[in-house]
Amino acid sequence: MELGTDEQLVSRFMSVGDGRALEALFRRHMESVYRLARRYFAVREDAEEVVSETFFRCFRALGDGQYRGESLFRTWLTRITVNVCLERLRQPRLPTLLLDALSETAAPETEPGDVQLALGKLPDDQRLALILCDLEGYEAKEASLIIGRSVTAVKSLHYRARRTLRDILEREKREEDGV
Amino acid sequence: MECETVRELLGNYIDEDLTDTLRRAVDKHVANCTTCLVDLTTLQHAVDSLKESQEIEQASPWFAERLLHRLAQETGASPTGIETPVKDLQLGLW
Repeated sequence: MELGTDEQLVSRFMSVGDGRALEALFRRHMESVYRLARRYFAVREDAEEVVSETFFRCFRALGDGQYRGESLFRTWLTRITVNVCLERLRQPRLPTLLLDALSETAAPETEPGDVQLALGKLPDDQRLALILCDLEGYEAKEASLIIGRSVTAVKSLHYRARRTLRDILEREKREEDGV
Repeated sequence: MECETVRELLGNYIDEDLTDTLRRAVDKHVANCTTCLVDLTTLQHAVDSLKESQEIEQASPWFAERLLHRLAQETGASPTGIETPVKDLQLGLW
């Protein structure tokens, strides 16, 4: 089967019910969904559960005809992934949040751990802006479709997020140095 | 150029997303303004640290295949109308 674009694969599934199109979409996007989930969850198994839930929702929605091509399939799938991540973060008493896990395992002097801890302390919307724009490489326009705000609002959010991250890192360094 | 304007441009400056004219104006300003220079260097450090800190290990080796099987089974059996085309098994799962 010729693979074609995401949108062609979606169309193929929706028009003739070709399940191989879903398999192709899954293989094409599984790693990026997993990577995004790992930005939120330190434990691999938690991220894998996010991936599972994301693709179940995605494929059911495709079966229900809920994807209408108003945005790129990739954008739509990322939005589902973010929603699943945020819902899972809001569930009580999950011991595997990035912040919690790192607090228990990361050596305090390691810079990557410091940054990830700081990232975990950002407000949800700022963290999402940093993940999408700085780590996943989305342009502001596509990030705005995922977040559901205007391009201007996303740029502003991204601006504030970087400053908040910087301030947290600076504050923690001062505390470490006893200043 | 005022400090407030420079600060609003620092994100684009770090992303190298400024016109030459604006970039030169920011350069000129921070060369003479310690406050904005510190703002720029600390912000640049935070962004660099963020980007360098994000190594992600891969998913479990069999995770994708297991999930694909579950998706084929459960989605095909769901009441949403997705049918499992059993006759189309060239890729083995659907």
